[in-house]
Amino acid sequence: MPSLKEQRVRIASVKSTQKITSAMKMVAAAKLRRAQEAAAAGRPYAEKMAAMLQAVLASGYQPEEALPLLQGTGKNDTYLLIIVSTDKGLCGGFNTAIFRAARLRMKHLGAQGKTVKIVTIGKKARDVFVRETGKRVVKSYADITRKKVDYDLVAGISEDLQQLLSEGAFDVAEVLYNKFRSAMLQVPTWQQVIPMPSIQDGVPESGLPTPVKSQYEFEPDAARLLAKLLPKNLSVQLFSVLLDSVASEHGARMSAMDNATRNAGDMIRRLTLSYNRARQAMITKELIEIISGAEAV
Amino acid sequence: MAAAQKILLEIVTPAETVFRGQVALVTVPASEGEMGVMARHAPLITALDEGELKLYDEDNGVISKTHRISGGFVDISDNKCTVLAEKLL
Repeated sequence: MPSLKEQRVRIASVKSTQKITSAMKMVAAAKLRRAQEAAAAGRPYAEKMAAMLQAVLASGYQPEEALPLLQGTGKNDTYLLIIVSTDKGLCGGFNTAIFRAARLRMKHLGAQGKTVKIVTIGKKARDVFVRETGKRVVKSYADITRKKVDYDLVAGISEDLQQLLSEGAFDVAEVLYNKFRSAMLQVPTWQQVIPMPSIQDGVPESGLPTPVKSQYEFEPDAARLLAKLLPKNLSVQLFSVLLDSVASEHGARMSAMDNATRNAGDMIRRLTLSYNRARQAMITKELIEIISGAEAV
Repeated sequence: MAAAQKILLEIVTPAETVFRGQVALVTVPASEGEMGVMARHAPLITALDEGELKLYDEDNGVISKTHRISGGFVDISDNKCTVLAEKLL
């Protein structure tokens, strides 16, 4: 049995931990709201971009040159997994869930005889996958999701990806991220980004508006327009994935910190109970000693 | 003459919708040369170069607002002109 003083110290330390976790929960809640707003504000652009792409594709253009972003490289031997994690910890099972999904996907692809390469976004994924798979990690990005997600940085990633694609480093790219359902629920999801999923499958995420009959005129011609649109579309897709992942991160952190605060509360209650019992026992013991001492006289 | 017809203009960046409102005329820096868009323009999709968007609230030749963009796309259909700008400068 620890001494009374030890127990007091213990209670005080749990209390201050509880204060920290509850403050972190508040912060995460505020950031979550902001992240959700950012995700909502970014939606019109992504939707319009998808609609435009569809209009151009529906026009029956004649491609002059190969468009690997749309048609792929003609093979599907090498897969590139883009794993989106966080830079900071203390967000519950957020990263664990995405890593588990990533390992599963790697195993699945590996079983089909595909080569898998990895691009990580966020420090956590980099740390884990560099250690686990070493050479497979071709590129790592950190501090992208730290503050507000910056479109320019994302455009940089998309350029790097196109560079890798043109060098023939991979054939198919998929992005793995935690999709935001609610503050409590984030679903690890994978989504193909290169080559662009065909229109029949619907471009996931954006919820394509009703197909537009192609009564459009194009300037310059459809093929050249497409060549310009596709890279932008890649950036936009990555951008909305990142916005979604950031919202998920704050949601996950909020519920993790909520749990931690509640656990700390339980712990304080239990510790206080045992402290009070010990204190009471001590008083009783002293009383007995005094009384029996008085009787002896 | 009835009040001049207007077209709904939207200027959207990846991060937010910058402008949404009725204008009489907007000129955009299309890749094939600067282009004016008025009400009931034929459906058109075109790429934009770096340059200025000039908004005319009324059809009187007075520029009411300009936005500098770094390039992007414009989609005109159903009396609506959507400018997808990469970035506002």
